[in-house]
Amino acid sequence: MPRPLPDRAELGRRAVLGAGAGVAAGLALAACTGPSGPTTPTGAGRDPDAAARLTAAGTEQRLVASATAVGEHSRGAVGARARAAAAAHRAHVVALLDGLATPSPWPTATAPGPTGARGLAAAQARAAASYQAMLAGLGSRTAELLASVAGSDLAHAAAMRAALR
Amino acid sequence: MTVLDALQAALAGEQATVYAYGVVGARLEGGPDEVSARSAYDAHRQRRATLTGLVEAVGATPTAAAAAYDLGGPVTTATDARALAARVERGAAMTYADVVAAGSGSLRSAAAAWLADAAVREAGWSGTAPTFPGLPANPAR
Repeated sequence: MPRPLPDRAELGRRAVLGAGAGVAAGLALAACTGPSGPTTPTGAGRDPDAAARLTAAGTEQRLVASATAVGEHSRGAVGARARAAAAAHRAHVVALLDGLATPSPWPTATAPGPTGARGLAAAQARAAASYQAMLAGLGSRTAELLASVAGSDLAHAAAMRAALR
Repeated sequence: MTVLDALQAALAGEQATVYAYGVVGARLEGGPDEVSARSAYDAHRQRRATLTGLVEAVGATPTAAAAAYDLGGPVTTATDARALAARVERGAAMTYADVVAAGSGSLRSAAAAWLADAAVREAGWSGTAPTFPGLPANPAR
């Protein structure tokens, strides 16, 4: 009898990551990069998982802004890819901030994002590489979330490059 | 999940994926996606070998491949084949996420790269880039 292809149930995937609250408040906090780079709230520097999530959330928030801008100014496949990417990056921010304590006060975003569809794809690829470089030493849940976000960002970059051909 | 459990699950997934790509490749042969299918088939065969080596390196017996796998329905058109390819890449990403979670060091890095590769291939086959490859649809919910 043929064996079914593995699926989530067969592979015994765990319950959903993360637990709950603070996402909406956290969204406003993701855009927290100053001229000298991402900032972290008091205490986050002592928690490598929280620091990694906050850093990645800041990067994703800039990608939201860039993808939104490309989506607003592009038509056809490029515009559609950019709008899909903006939605994905927004979901990434929510997931990255999920369950983190809400710090205050937070600086506002000052670092500009990449411009243009090609710049967006390049920034997505750079973001993915940076997340993959963070994985050592992180807890399992944060590591798999960052790896997943990296994979998504690379897939969006590839999709955008395909649309630009 | 232990590292060995995660590796064995990933290996089982690769065995199924290689089988599926055999079907996908046959269906797409001679068409515009033939090269992509062949590339994916070769990549997954290589990864299956890598995972087999990793399991053997810890003294365990690698999970054996099945003689055949249920593909979930007939694969009679190129559209069917592309959908199957996207599905097996999605499944592969889940097993790699488990290796990322269970592993450390170079194994975790390798698994993260495999997960990303699966996400890119899934996007290529389905036309839609996944938002959380390897994870539940929305991990924040």
